[in-house]
Amino acid sequence: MIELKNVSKSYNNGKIKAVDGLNLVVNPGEIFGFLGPNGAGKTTTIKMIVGILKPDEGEILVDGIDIQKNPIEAKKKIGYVPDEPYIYDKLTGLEYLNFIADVYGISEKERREKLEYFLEIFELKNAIGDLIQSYSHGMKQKLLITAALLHSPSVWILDEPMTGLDPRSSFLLKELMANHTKAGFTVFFSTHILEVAERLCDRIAIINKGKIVACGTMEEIKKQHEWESLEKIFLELTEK
Amino acid sequence: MGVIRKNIPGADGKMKKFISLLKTQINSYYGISAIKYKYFVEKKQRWELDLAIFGIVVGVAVFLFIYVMQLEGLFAASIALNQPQLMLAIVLFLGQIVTLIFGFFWVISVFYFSDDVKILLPLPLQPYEILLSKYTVILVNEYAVLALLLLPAIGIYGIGTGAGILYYLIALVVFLFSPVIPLSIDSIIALWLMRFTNLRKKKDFFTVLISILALMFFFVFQYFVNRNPQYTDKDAVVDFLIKNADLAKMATKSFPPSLWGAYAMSDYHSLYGFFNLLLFIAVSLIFTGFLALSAQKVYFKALMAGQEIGAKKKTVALERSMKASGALKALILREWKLFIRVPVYAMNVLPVAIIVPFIFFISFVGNPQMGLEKAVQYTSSPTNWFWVSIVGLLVSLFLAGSTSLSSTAFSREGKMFYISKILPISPSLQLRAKLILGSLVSIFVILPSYIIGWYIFKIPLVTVAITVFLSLPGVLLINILGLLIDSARPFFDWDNPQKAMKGNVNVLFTLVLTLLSLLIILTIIFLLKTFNVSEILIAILIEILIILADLKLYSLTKDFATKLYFEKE
Repeated sequence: MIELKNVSKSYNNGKIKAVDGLNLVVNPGEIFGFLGPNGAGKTTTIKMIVGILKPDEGEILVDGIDIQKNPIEAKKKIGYVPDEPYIYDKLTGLEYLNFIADVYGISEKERREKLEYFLEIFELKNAIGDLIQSYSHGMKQKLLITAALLHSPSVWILDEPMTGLDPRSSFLLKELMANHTKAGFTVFFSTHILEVAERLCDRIAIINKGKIVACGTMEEIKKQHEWESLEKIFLELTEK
Repeated sequence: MGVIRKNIPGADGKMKKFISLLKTQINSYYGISAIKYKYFVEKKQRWELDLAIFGIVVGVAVFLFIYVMQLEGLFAASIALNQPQLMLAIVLFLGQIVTLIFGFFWVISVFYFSDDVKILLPLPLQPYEILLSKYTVILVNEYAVLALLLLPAIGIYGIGTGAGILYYLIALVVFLFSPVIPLSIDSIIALWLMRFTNLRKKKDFFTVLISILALMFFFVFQYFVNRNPQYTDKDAVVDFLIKNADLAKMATKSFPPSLWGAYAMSDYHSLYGFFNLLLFIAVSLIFTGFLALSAQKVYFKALMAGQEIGAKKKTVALERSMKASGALKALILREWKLFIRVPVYAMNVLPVAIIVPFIFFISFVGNPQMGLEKAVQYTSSPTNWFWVSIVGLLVSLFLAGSTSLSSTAFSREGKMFYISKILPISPSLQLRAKLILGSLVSIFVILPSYIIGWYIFKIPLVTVAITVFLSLPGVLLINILGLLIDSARPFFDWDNPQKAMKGNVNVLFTLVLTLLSLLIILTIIFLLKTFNVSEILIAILIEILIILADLKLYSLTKDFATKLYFEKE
């Protein structure tokens, strides 16, 4: 579960307001899509939830734990896949995954089971001994997804996860997201691919200029907008 | 002019394109826009910029002071030999040889290893345009170095011979063309070499090779400096040059362009000088032309081959390679692997372990005047334990200060720092991992000096033990200082690991703080000495003082690190 209470963040000494008084609750067992045009504040919001950025105002709770007051405990609940796959080029894929498993305190047995599974489905088995610098964009993305899921996080946060994935991998990712919520966990991801959001999400929010301009199930939002297509609604809401 | 240009289809556009490319290259190479944005738009820490400028000015002033003194000696010697142009020839020769030797590595790294080639390759640009723009960036850089070397010599000669304005004009032309021939030779060799050997794939190997060559150069240089008596005064330089005049002439003859340039300047009022100037310029242009041709022919081929990165694609047995370990160990191992596998980092830190003992060794063993016997007599006596171990402490601190591992510990994470931020690991544990690795590497770097001290200077084991006792908290102190500075002002925004370590002012700040610590320790010792405090008590007091400083500064660093992990962007 994720709760954002009145969260704001600005850059350049308050000149640019990236996120403006955001209130949001994402429930357990829910896939939540975070939509918005470029520069709307999606990545800033996500970075605040995972503890990379500190909000200027407001409170963020992950499974009821305040990320600012108790960051270590909150971070244990989170698995994060960033929008750009920056990983240590000079480690092998396996070394990176082992490092992540070590810092999250995952037992040898558990990490072996998890890795067998993920490396198999992502077809990374043959590359896992190579340095990450030899990986393609998509391979790095898959490695980051694996790393994010190693400790079975109750909140899985992904920033533009479909970018760079081949059709097979993005299909797999969608499956993984659905399975994750079946176990009662939360999935929160940003995207600007509206079809993905429409098909996958239990609820969505549209953010524009740092403010949420629509939030609810697909049905609720469409109802409010006279049953127009999501694309039209999106364009209307983000035009202003 | 503009109208005429417009009438020639393509000419204006081509030039414009090249100038725009060049501007972008220079901008991105020096990070001009980034600096402007940081200091003038975001208005962040303007003092950093001021301090950096101040540091450069002081450094240049000190260099010029020493250099001009040497040059005056050289000029006096040239006059004494009745060959005033000899000084110009020697300085030009030195400048061009330095360009030739170091330019080669620079050329390869800028032509082939810079990140922007991925962006430039798909643009509708000719190979020679890209290459010449990169070449010009290096040229501009060379001018900065050569200005320091050549301009003082040009000035001294001009004033010394009372030369007229024409001399200075010609000198300016010679100066502008001076790096062209050596740099073109480097570039042409590099182009053809890269065409036939795929060094791009062995970028890491190449970095190590450069470092080893630089080390060898350093050792040879040290050897020669020490073999000959020290030239601290002008007369000695004059004397040396007169004795070795033939050698100097021979050296300059081995690279004729230096002689052409020198004659162009010294015989500026005669046809002979003018002919030399023409020769100098013409040969420079011919080399540049040949460079452009070579670039057009082979640059892209090597560049594209370099974009392919091979992978082994070997299946790894998961069972065997999956050993769980504690978080601290995992953090230290990560730091270590990311350090040792980037040659720029490793080769910047580890060779210090050999360099310093080597200087000791050469300056004492290679030079009987330094009086190794006398030194050993002092160091081997157990009664001199105090000063021997204090010197040992100071050397250890200095060595720890010059291993730039801790002072770049956060910066080196660069864009990957977000990973450390999202880990469920406390900042203090992450900090501890960095401190442990930094200190261990410092100890590794210091160790050979201790062995030299024990083996060659016959320092008694008890004294060595006291030195270790004093140095361990000292080494921690210096590493904490490095971490403190780097956590307070990390430099994450780099695209090339070289910039994270070599281009990081935190390294310099740490060195300054290290020297300051040495000064403080020495002052305290001298103060206590004047109050006739016993040596044992002084040693104990120093030990306690350093430990207290360790604790205080570590807690301060922890605060900065916590801020960095939880708050900063």
